Parts: sequence; structure tokens; C-alpha cells
Amino acid sequence: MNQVLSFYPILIDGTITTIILTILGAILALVISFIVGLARISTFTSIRVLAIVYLEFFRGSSALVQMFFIYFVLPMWGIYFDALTAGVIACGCNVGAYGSEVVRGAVLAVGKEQHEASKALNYSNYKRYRYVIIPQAIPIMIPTFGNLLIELLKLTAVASLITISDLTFMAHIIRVQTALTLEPFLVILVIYFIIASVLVKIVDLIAKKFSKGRNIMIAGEN
Amino acid sequence: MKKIILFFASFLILLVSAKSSFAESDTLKRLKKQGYAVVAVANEPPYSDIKSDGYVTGAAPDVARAVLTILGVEELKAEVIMYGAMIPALQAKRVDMATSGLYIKPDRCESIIYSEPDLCGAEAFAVPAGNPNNLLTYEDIGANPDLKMTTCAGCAEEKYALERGVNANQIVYFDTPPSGIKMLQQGRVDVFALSGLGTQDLLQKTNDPNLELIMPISGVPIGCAGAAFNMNDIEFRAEYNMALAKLKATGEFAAIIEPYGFSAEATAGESYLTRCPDGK
Repeated sequence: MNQVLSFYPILIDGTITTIILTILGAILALVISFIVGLARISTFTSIRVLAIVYLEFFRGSSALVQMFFIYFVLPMWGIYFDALTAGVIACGCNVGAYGSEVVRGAVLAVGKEQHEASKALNYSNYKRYRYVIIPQAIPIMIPTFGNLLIELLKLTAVASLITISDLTFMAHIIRVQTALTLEPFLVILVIYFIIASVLVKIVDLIAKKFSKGRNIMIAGEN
Repeated sequence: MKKIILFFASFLILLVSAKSSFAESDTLKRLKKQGYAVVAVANEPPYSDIKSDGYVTGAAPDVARAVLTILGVEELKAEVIMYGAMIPALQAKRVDMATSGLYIKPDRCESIIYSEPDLCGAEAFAVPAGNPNNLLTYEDIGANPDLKMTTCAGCAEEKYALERGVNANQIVYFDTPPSGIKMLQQGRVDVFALSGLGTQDLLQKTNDPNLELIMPISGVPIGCAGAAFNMNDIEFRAEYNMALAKLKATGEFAAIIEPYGFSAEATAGESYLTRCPDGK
């Protein structure tokens, strides 16, 4: 075990890389979730079709292949991302596709009378969504987004194939250098678990903040 | 006759590279200007050795470092990546070169180009102590279809096995060599095949009295690895080869690789000209 722990500098590096990849990927995924999720319920057919194409492409193909494609194939056509950017794009686009369904579902779950009431008050489309619908949809989204965030954290483990030295890759290095198997994996198991626990806590705090003064059940069921 | 042709061919190459040393290749100019080269290194001791603080050493990176110093590139930035990502990384120009145990194989020469060989070695098996199935060659594995062997996907050893009568469904692939040794320890496979020094190093670290090293394996050629480059870096490759030849001539080369267990003599008669079809 000590032999494994003596590799702490690269373990710390790997942990930081994993966290950065998770955070940046989550931000991108969140933005994409909202754009694509709302595009799915647009009244314009062309926008809806584009959103569906995006969703089906990123949900229907493997994240690993997407990563490989972005990092190794696009440069042949002159599009060049560094490894971390490629990893963030692949993770973000992939989880964003799942997230868009969460956004769509949550927005549709907000009661019909809320739409009608805001229309009766002469709210514009933008105002209706910004001040009435989305604030009520967010508390419904949060638990599922929390799940996706943990999924994203674990998805980053495949990023080592595109030369990102994340936590899992560091475990492989230690494994090959020391020929120990149990110990390096045990160490990263604990590290992943700690990161995931912190993420769950953060999501809980956010959920509390957004559901203040609202009853989720009513917003969701009506 | 072949030898004579080879001699003249290498003479010609020397001439060409001598000429190009007056006009440096664009790649070398760029590397000199930025002061470093990005080098893909695989995670396989003793070809490469990663220290606990992340510093990359080992036979192949050390040779590359010395060669680059002769060329005037001060720093080697090692990028540790999986074997499977090495050739794509070169093709997409993600890295300037790759080193550490990428054997010179004819089908690889189709996608990348190699320097002169720097590390050559015999092949080995790891088997349960006492070698219960009496495996000394790949043919022995092929002769008993009940046996399972493990090696890495796309490795030279996979090809040796298939060419020597081992059935494809006898091969179980490992992701990293320690996984292969674990499978052997747990009885999931009967034999583990990899480069000689890689296997030896792994068995020393595993330190399991129930395992035994069989080396060398007769009937397979000595495997030779070299630095690998993008197809378009032919001039840079020539410059690299010149510097490597200098390093070999001064004896510094032997001083670098011998502590890791490699033999400088083994590379003496070897050339990518004979190992790649058409001498690419």
C-alpha cells in the first residue's frame, strides 16, 4: 500500500484532472440540456428536427467513440482541439443529450394552467418561460440532473484513451509500474466515492435552494 | 547480393541525410524553436519507467532524450498514452514522435514510419511454475486447443501466435500486462506472452513463486522497436537516424540501455529497411 501511496503526486494530478473534466463537462452539459431540451418543444419544426437529430446522435453512439472521433479524426479535417477540450466536448455533448430529455420532461410536467394563466396575463413567450414555467420546472429537474452528474464523473474515466491523464489512467500507470492490482484500484475507488459524495451534497444544497417556498409535488403533479 | 544492396541503400540514405543536415527539416526547425518535442510513451517497463512524481524515464525515452539533445532539441515532453492510441496520435500529429516498445511491423509501416531500431529483444512466456503444459513455442500452444493464452490486442505476440497455429479463440486479450498476469495467477489462462524484458520485469515485480519465465521463445524473430513518426516526417526521421547513429557510435547508447537490461549488440545488424516492406 505504501508503494502505491508514494505515487501521491500523480494521484493528486489525476484527481484534479478528473474534477476539472467533470466540472467543465457539467457546465457544457447543462447549457446543451437547456438549449436542446427547449428546442424539442419549439413550435418551429426545423428546430425540433435539429434537436432530435442531435439527441439521437449523441445518445445513440458510444461516448468513447465520440471522444476518439473528436480527438483523432477531426484533426485530419483541420479541426484541432487539445485533449482536455476534446474530453469536455465529448462528455458535455453526451450527457447534454440525456439532460435535454430531463429538461423537456420537466417543462412538460409544469401544469397546463400555468401556461394559460401567463398567457392571460399577456406574458410574452420569453417571459412565460423565464418567470413562470422554468422556475417551476427546475426543482423537478434537479434530482435527475444529480444522477447525470454522477454518471458524468464516471464517464470521465474513459477519457484516458485520448491521452488525458485522469484518475483511472494514473491507477493503470501505478499498476504497471508496481504490478499491484488491488491497492491502486482501492485507492481510486475511495477517491471516486469521495468526489461523488461531495457532488451529491452540492446537488442537495442546490435542490434545497430552488425548492424554497415551493411544493415540488404540486408543481409536478397538477 | 542482398547485403550489398543493403549496404549501398544505407550508404545512399546516409548521403541523403548528410545533405539534408545542411537544410534542416521544417519539423526539426519547429521543435528547436519551441525548445521541446512532444513524445508519446507507452506505459510498459522497462521500455518506459514512470517515477512516482510522474517523471518519465526508461530505456526508450532516455534514448530519445539523448538523440533529441544531439539534434538541439532541449526538452522531451513525455505524454504517457495507451498503446492503442499511439498510431492515431502520430497520424493526427498529436505528438511529434512515439517511442517505447512499438515493434517495427510491416502492417504498421503502412501508417507510420520508423527510425532505425533502438531496442531489440527476444520473446517470452510466463507460465505456472514447472510449466505443466510444457509450452516452449507458440506451436505448442496451437497443438492443444484447450489451452488459453493471453497477450495484448494488436501486439506482435498476437500475430506470432496466429501465424503459428494458435486458434483465435484461444487468445484472451488483456488491457494492461498486470491484468494478464492476474489472469494467469487465477487460472483463467495457461500462458502469458509478451516481450522478454517486459515479462521478466513484470514477474520480478509480481514476485510470485507459482509463476515461471520461459525465455527466449524459439521460432519467433527478435522483436525490434524504434522511434515512430508521422508519414510526412521523412526528413526529420533521417535527421533522427543520423543522431541515433552518432549516439550508437560513441558507446553512449549502450550506456543508456544496458542498465535496463537491453543489449546494444542486438540492434547492430537490424534496420527498418529490412523490417518494413519496400524499406519505408
